[in-house]
Amino acid sequence: MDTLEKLQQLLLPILGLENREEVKPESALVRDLGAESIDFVEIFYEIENQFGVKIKVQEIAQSDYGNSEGSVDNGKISAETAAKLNADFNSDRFVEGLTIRELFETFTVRDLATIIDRKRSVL
Amino acid sequence: MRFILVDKIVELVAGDSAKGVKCITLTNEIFNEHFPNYPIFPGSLILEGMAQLAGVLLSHTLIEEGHPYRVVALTMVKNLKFRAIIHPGDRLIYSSKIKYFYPNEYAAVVVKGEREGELCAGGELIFSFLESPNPQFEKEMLHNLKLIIESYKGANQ
Repeated sequence: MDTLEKLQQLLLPILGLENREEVKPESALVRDLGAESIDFVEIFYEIENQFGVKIKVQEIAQSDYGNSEGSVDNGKISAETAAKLNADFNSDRFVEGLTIRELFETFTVRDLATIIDRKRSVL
Repeated sequence: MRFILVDKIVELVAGDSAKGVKCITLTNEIFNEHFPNYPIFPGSLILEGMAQLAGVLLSHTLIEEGHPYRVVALTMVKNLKFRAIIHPGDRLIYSSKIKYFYPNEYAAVVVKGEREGELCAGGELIFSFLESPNPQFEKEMLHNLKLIIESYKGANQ
């Protein structure tokens, strides 16, 4: 089972869902699946148990990308940051002007699997 | 009744583990209702006792390791089983072992309750760390924690 499938399986009971089809790779954890902050504690706990990697809320909120100078202006990401996010998450949905909150709310199941794989590859 | 459900702490190692004792006595008012003429110590109170011990361990760890003060709040109970019926006269040994500790996020603690070496209850408790609502609250909580730890030390003499 690859990371994405295993992650989908892991998310089912936490989000109160029954079928893996309900947890699509492109589903956003907050906006589509209704994950709340208590759910994220459980998600990170189970990821650490099952994949052996530690993920921080900041990585989901993408504030790691907001730390360098000029990357975020008034809480909105720059074109440069958007390009980096698109490259890192193999996506084209990140655009200049997205807020950090929007990034968090639109963070997908596939994005989470990408972070897990990246962390496991450096173990 | 004081809602302190651990009688004494016999081991407290910051960042690692704690061990506590809970003696069950027929004097406890809970047995009036739970149950009349059939006294069984409620599993929910065993859970609370194990959570209190784990809470003291985590608070103690925050302080000893120099992290900012946070309120330690039980947020999840995982895989907890009550495996034996506990009666008056029983002496339970609670133990807590830190599994994950992330002071800005959460902690997981493996807890057990044993009676004469027999595992009676066990599972994992997950705690979140909440911001203190105000400095006065923080001061009072730290004072209370110190009192609790000191009174346990007294109980061990």
